[in-house]
Amino acid sequence: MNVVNGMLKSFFENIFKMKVLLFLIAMFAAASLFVPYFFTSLNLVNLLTSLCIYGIMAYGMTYVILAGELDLSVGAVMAFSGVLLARLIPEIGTVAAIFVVLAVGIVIGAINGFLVSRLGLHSFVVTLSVMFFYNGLALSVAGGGPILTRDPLLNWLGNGSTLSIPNQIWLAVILFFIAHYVLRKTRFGRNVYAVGGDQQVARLTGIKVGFYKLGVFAISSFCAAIGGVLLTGMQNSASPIAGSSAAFSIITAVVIGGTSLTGGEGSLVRTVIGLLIFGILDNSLSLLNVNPFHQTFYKGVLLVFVIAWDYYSRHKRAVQTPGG
Amino acid sequence: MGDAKVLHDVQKQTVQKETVKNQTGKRTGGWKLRIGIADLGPVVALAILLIVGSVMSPVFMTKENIFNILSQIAKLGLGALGMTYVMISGYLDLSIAGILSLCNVMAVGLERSIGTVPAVLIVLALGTFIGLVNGTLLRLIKGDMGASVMITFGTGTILSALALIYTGGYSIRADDDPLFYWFGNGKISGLPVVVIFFFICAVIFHIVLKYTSFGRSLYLTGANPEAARLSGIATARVRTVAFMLMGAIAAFAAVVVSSQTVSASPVAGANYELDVIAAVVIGGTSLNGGEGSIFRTIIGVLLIGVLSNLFILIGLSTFDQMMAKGLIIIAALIMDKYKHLGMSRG
Repeated sequence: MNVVNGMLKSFFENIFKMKVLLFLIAMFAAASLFVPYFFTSLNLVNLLTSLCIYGIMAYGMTYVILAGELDLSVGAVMAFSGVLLARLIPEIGTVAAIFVVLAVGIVIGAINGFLVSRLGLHSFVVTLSVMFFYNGLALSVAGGGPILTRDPLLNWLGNGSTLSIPNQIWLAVILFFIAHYVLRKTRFGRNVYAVGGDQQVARLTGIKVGFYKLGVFAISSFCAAIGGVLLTGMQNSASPIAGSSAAFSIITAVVIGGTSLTGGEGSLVRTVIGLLIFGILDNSLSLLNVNPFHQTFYKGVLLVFVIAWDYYSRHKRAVQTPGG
Repeated sequence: MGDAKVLHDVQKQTVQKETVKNQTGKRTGGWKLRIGIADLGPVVALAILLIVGSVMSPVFMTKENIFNILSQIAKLGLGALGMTYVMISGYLDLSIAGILSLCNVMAVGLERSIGTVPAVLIVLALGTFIGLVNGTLLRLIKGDMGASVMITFGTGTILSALALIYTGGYSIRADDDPLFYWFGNGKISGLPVVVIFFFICAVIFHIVLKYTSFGRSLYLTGANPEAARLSGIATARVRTVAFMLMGAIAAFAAVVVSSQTVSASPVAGANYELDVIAAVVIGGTSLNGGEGSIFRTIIGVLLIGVLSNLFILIGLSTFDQMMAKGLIIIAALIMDKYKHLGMSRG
């Protein structure tokens, strides 16, 4: 109980410090006023549900970014997990298939982490190549098109509701508290911050940097695998080309929240705020009947702006703290 | 007394080092020998591929197929020339897929309205301008390599969206114009024009890289930006010029592609960045910057081109090709790492 109290306290303390939260509130107000049908319970539930899959993947991405790395492969891992799940269900049953897929996710992440931490390769280049690999593998396993799944358990996960709240939202909220707790209250979480903050210092303090890098990639791919399971359940089919731009949308959302790409700075609360901002924008553009090509255009502009802003403000900070 | 001995030792070592340098210098005098052991791997791989290809498929070593390969790798090769510059300068450009798509539809659209020559010139200018924007953005934010990946992905997304908006998502056909057709399909005494274009561009890129101060600044900037800046190189400007050349040559590749198909698709650039980066990296140009050459890139382009051709001949799907190329980049990265391991530990 004490733990929960402390968490809630730090949760609210953090919230009031964030300018980005004010931006979110302003955006929400603007969307409610100017976008027709935005402020209806149906749309708001839809908005939250549509954010769950990317949200869960964003938790993993937050770990990776906090550790000072990037994971561009999450979209491909998500697609591959969905396709693998759809192929495995007829063979070994739903529950076993889900566990296998989640385990495969962890293994995929561990391989990414191994390539990055042991061989010292650039994480964005490794995960970019890995992204192409799993995109190809997903297409190959699926035979080029979507695979239909008619599974009651998966459908319940993706589309069912408990206490009139969609199961996806339950899962996203529960995973948020677990991820937040691990990040804030455990040694693992603190060390992730330390590794991202200054790798050399972390190494000299005796933190096994390699282990933590491997760990964050495993978490990220694990979250992507959960995303794949949920997406398959939601759509009752597994598409090998789902999530082709997921990684970049998710990174945009995480960075909007204020988690810096340098690592060591940010939090899961910020990630959720960033996701909501991204989600409101996405939702409003759809409600306003904006042409999908134009939507892609606006998202690209947003991505460039957000990344540029992150790097620019980082440079300004470095100038303001001489010798730092 | 002790100092004198130390000094003597240092002098002796310096002399020894210089002798070693001279010896190696002599040994690697001719241009053929200067290629060196590091470049030999891809060459051997290419030779093995050619042998495997001719054994596995009877049509592989025919004149038609060879010209077919060469015409097809023009698109890849042109992009790879530009990417070599960007990678030597220590950045990466993911926007080329978007540049190719947009310039592709623009080339055809403009060719229909204002004719071939103005269309080609405008498209080349557009590509250069996009490179200028990429470079300027990265200069303003003082971005590192990670920034270049994210920013150019963003600009690439914008350009791809613009290409789709321009045609409304549809493919468009080019007007009949012999000159426009000639760009991609013409032949000069049996040799495809695109191959000649690629060869000329490769020679120019090679000369600029090896024999101009710009080329040397490019290497220095990629190897150690801080040191390069302190020795008076305008590193941001050098990198911006690399991006501009990249944009221009990607636009030229777009013209060639639209001419080859006499039409333009707004998604013509899909996976272009994968192919180009794979080709440059497999040739042996390091992703860490400061290292690489046009010769290596050409070997890499031939490798990827022959490999793609073989995949088609033996009936592998495009999905398997994507997997293979992803694996190839990782393998090349690991090999590059081991090549440098001795240096970085020492």
